[in-house]
Amino acid sequence: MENIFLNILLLLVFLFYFIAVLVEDLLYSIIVLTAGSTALAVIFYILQAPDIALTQAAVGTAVSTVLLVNAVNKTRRKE
Amino acid sequence: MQKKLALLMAVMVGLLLIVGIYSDAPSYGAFPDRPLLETEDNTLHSIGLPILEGTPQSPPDGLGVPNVVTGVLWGYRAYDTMGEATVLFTAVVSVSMLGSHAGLLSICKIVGMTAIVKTVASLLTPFLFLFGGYIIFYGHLTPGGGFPGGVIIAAAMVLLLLAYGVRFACSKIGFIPCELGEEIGAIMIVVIGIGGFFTGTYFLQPMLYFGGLGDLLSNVQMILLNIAVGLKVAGGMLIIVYTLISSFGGEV
Amino acid sequence: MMSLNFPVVVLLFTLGLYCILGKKNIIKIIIGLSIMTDGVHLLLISLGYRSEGIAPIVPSSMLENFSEIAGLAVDPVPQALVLTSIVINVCILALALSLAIHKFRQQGSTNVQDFNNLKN
Repeated sequence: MENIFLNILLLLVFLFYFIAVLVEDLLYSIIVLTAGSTALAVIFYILQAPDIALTQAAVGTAVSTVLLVNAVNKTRRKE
Repeated sequence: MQKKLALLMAVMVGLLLIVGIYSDAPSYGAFPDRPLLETEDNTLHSIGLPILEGTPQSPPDGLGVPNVVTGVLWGYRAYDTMGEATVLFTAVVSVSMLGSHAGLLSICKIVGMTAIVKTVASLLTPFLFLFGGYIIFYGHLTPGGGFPGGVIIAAAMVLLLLAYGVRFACSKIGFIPCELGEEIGAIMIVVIGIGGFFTGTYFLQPMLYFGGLGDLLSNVQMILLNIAVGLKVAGGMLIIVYTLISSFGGEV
Repeated sequence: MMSLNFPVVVLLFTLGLYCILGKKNIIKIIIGLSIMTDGVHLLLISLGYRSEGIAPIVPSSMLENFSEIAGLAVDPVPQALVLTSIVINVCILALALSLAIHKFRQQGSTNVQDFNNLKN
């Protein structure tokens, strides 16, 4: 059961990152990247690494999203 | 043309990775059978096993902390972690060099989000600070440590910044306290490391122990090092975020 | 049931490499760098996993007989490596983004094919 949940989350991470690479709108891409980061944090928790899960959740959702959105704000939104 | 070449190259690297992983690497979930370390009696086993056995032991043999990851970070690889803190300092210096922050902050407009967002942010921020402090102080007993705690404290300030605007956040915790925190953290790591010389051991060797395994003060030096790196990470992240938001023009 | 960790690691690394080589927008390239690093982190954590293992932290019920942890827990060494690597990843992201914004202020473009002069 745990293995099925892990596999679904892994495929979800790949799907989110694939959409983030494909899509033209950079803001949309960054939000999808954040969703993938959150799923990756849950994967780290399932793989028995709670320290990494905490760090990945804080970094992937808060700091790197703010930096990327700020960069898009100061440049162009369309690719 | 460029995209086709890039796709071809990426697929080739992917095939190489598949060959490498499925021919050489150990199978998934077989951690102790991974041959990495050759011991004296010519048996092969992973380097993780002696660390798992050694870290919770009482101080002359081990480190006396339950969290083995923090033990690896500040016991077995402490010198390496100090070098990693230097990388953070280099990134902060480079970002500050590219965008000059001090003069441009005065022309930032006071903007913010709606009253709902402001109320929720002002209610949440103290608890986020408390949670970051808990993660730092109990980093050797429970999951956490200096790195996640520092990032959580920086994220709490980022929440305040997004809700109230960059000038309000800078009036609470400005550039000077952030820089002070970063430098005090760096100096604290080195001073604690040099303290090992006076007790007759090595640089950054753990030496302050009070109480048994699982007590808060069981390894005081690890708490001090966690506080130092937490200050350093929180200050560095905040300087990077402030600088990137308040310089380079544009709407702020 | 077969685990998909290593195939997803290969897919993530390949996706990031394609994004770095094939895209022309500089912010998209930086996103590709972040995706590649996440793939490497997932590989390191998966290599240290033990099936039915527990986290490498001595629980409060095992404080008396803590030597049993070596037979139960997952590998702590890759976790310590990844913990520092994640923070360094944010530093790389911030530095690359500030360079990108700096270049945009000078050239007025985010396309890497317009960055063809060494001066400025």
